[in-house]
Amino acid sequence: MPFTLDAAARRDLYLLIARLFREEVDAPLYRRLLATQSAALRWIEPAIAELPEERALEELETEYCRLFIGPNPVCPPFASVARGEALLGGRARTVIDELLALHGLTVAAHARIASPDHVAVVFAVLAELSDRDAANDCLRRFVLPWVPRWLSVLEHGAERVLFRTLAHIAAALIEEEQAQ
Amino acid sequence: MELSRRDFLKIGAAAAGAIGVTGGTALVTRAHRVDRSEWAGHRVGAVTRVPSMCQACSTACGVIGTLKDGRLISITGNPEDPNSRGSVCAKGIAGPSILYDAARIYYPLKRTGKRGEGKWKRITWEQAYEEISQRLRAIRESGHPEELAFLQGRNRSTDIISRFLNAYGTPSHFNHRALCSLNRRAAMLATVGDSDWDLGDYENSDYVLNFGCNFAEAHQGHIPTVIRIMAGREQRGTKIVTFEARLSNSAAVSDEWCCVKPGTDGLIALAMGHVICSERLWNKAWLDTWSNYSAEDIGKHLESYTPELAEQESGVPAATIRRIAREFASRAPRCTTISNRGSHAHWNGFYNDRAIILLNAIVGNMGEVGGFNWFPFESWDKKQLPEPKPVPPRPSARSVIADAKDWPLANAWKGKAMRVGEIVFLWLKEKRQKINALMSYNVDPVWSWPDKNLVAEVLSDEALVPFHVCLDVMYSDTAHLADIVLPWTTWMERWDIDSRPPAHLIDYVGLRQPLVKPLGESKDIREIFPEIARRIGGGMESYFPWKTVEEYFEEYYKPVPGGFAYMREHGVWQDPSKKPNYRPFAKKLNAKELEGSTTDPTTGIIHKGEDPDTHEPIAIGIIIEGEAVRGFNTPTRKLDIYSKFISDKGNAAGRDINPLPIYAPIPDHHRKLDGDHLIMISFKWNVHNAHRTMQSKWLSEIVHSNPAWIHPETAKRFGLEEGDWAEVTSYRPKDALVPHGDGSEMGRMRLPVHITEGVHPLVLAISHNNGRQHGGRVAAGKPPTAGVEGLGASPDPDVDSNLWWSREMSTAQNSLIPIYPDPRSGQQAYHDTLVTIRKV
Repeated sequence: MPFTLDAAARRDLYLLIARLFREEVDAPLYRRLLATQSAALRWIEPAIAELPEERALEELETEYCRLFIGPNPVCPPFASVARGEALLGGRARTVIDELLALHGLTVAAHARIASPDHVAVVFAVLAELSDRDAANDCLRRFVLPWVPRWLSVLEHGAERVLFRTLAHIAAALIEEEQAQ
Repeated sequence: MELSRRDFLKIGAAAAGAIGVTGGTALVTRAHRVDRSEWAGHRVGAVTRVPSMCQACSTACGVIGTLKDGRLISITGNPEDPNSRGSVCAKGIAGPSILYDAARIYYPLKRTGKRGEGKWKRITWEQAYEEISQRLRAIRESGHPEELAFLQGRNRSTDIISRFLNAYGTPSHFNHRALCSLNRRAAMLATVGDSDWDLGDYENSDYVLNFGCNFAEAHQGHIPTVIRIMAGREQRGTKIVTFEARLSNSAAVSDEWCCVKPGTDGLIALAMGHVICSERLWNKAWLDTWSNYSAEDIGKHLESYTPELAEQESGVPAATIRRIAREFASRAPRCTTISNRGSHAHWNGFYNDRAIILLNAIVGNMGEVGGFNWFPFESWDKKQLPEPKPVPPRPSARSVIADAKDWPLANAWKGKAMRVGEIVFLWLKEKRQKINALMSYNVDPVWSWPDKNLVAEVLSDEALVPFHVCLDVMYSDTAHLADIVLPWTTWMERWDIDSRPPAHLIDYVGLRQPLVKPLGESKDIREIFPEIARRIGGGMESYFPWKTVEEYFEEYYKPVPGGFAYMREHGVWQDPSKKPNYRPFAKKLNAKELEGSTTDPTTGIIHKGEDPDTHEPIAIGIIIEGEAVRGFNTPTRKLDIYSKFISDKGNAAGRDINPLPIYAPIPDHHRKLDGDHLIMISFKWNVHNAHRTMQSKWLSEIVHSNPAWIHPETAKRFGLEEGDWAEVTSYRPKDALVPHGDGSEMGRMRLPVHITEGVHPLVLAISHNNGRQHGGRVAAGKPPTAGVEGLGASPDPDVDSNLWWSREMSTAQNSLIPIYPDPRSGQQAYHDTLVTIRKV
């Protein structure tokens, strides 16, 4: 079955997902999200879009914090936590470290993530993997054991459209990858 | 029409292309650069071992962190540490579970909702610095620097915090000492003149008489103390006798446990003194030489404190008191007491600990090998390793709350201000002092302060506390009521110069150094405060000339042979030329010390120079038997059994303080009650400390709930059986010397009971380390929230999500405990609360 997306589209989508998981939406990104949404694809609900931009951004920042940062985040974005490890970045981190090393990748020093087993890293790595076998290996070893389940929790736990849409798209993309 | 997932994906991909997130902000890059920071340490095979100092509690034991691939995998003791000698407790070993706690705060947070609503956004350090420094600069420039209040818990970064607050000019520096060891220190300062706490020479002692010290679990010098007590027992057969209201683990490892009514330890000590004096088992010569109150006068003073009176008050048989008194005296000088919060955290605690010190003096064991000892300072030798200059002067502004003049002994000793922490929030509520900003640091008063609900009420009120910055490792009940939360580093990620009162009686100095780089965006106060000072400006920045923390410590450790590099390699240094501080009072003054001195012909006190603040002559010693010796660091240069100093301080404040060690019955325990009242006490477990350990899965799995301990006879009276639930109602003391001491109801709580003979029949004992609402699921002992139900689900009991105890009861005892200071010193009386119970 042919893949739904071409390589460039696939990469763009992975990068966008990684970006949205990595940190809060800033003003330029917010404007572009507003500009690209349609009846079929909604990023920002009217209740937010109607607010002054600064307030709208703060609403999204608060939701990002509630979901991923905490205190007591609804969806801690780390493989180690999602897989029930007692310590942040434990065995799950070893796997992602191996994966990064295998593909000659490194997590950017400026990244605002507490541990490399962050979900944003997963999608950023997938964006870099144009080779089908490498992508499949990444999916099998690191993504499928926890990310689909985690995205499902996110989709149900998110109170803002942005993160429900994000979870939905990310899950669809992983499904698509699996189907290949 | 609902889109298929494929169609939706196509639209999403098109949008992604349009949004155009490029590699310029890529999270992962091809630039293969592995950060291999060079931490100090020894490479051993595949691991690196780095010495440092623990701060899971305040004991500050030397530790070694073992790292593999940059990750901390274990904590063990550092054998080079002369105080802890390579031992470390469970709290230290559990370090990795606190370091890698997923529920930690990893970023600066700013609230977006109402205070206490729990809505936050992540901000950058730049934003945090700007907002905080603007607020603080405005307060300072208003001419009222005292309106910045700083509240700390256990602070092992004293140098940098004092530097910042002094440079800023605020005296509103509050600590938790009155909730901890104030009375112990006050009794030592009043009687011996030196502090911190007493350091019995336990491993060389034949007899240790323990008055309410849970040395095996909760002493401030926990590990150094317990390893020496146990060494003495193993090597010399030291007898350990414990007087305590509860069968703690310390009582359990003793040879004898005498169950006492709370607040009567001092009377037992006086009664023992009575026996020893009346039977002439005393060391009369020592008393007549070194005490400012003669042996005969002491004997007369103790005449009324009979063992029968002590039995009547404490419940301990008079015959037992007599026997133990004789045993204790017979082992002199190789005998000593140890005491702590069990004796001193009472309304009458100051007197209790004075009485316990007196008991030692009577047998002449003071300063002796195997006897009752102490040390002149509480950390390293600051003359040998002084703070790097420039050092800011102390603030000239005054703070009503810091001065706490209602309690005349709290700040009576120069350079030893102890404050009265438990009244801070009450006095803020009563508007006795205005504050414009509060910084809370490593403290969770909303959970750990008495009358915790009052603390929450005050912190919720933006008129009383207009701006609150909380610095902590994890989100706490106090952070929940902050405006900005700053992510503090754990003790495994930061620097400190540190040491504790040496149990081996020789001072030493240690280094706390990062075992790993700070996780997330957490930062230490040593980085935060200099940056804020530079942004506030106005001269503050001049006290922080060092570019890095390492540069500062390079200078600090210069006097150590090998300097900072030696400290990084070994973690600790002790001057090999120094000897144990036995009999410091008998140390002869040399010609150089005596040069330019004068001697008072009446008292024999030797003076040299004058105090720059008071212009009074400084006493440096005393003539004893024709020799010029150091004496005690008291006003009389002798052991101040009779302390005019404390009596005068009391008179100046309108409070009656007896100059002699006495037994002062706790008024609230002696008022006419209906017979159903019990005395509620608090206790700690060996695996927990303050609010800093409950987030550890490894530790909370061991202790996670706090049923009320109750004696079988008492339980029977209330119709209670093991596991039954009871409602506990607590009362404020009916005592005019206590704030709001009207006897009114304080709080109610329901909890299960644990029936045990290991508690006094008049006592209800509840452990303190429970009942947190925030700090993550483990800290709060909560099952997964609906949002994460299923995440991490596993039958493995070791996984984080599997909190098998999450249905067990865990309550915050401080909602039942009133603000209850010792009227003389301000020490919180944690063990005196009257309660009633009923089965529910």
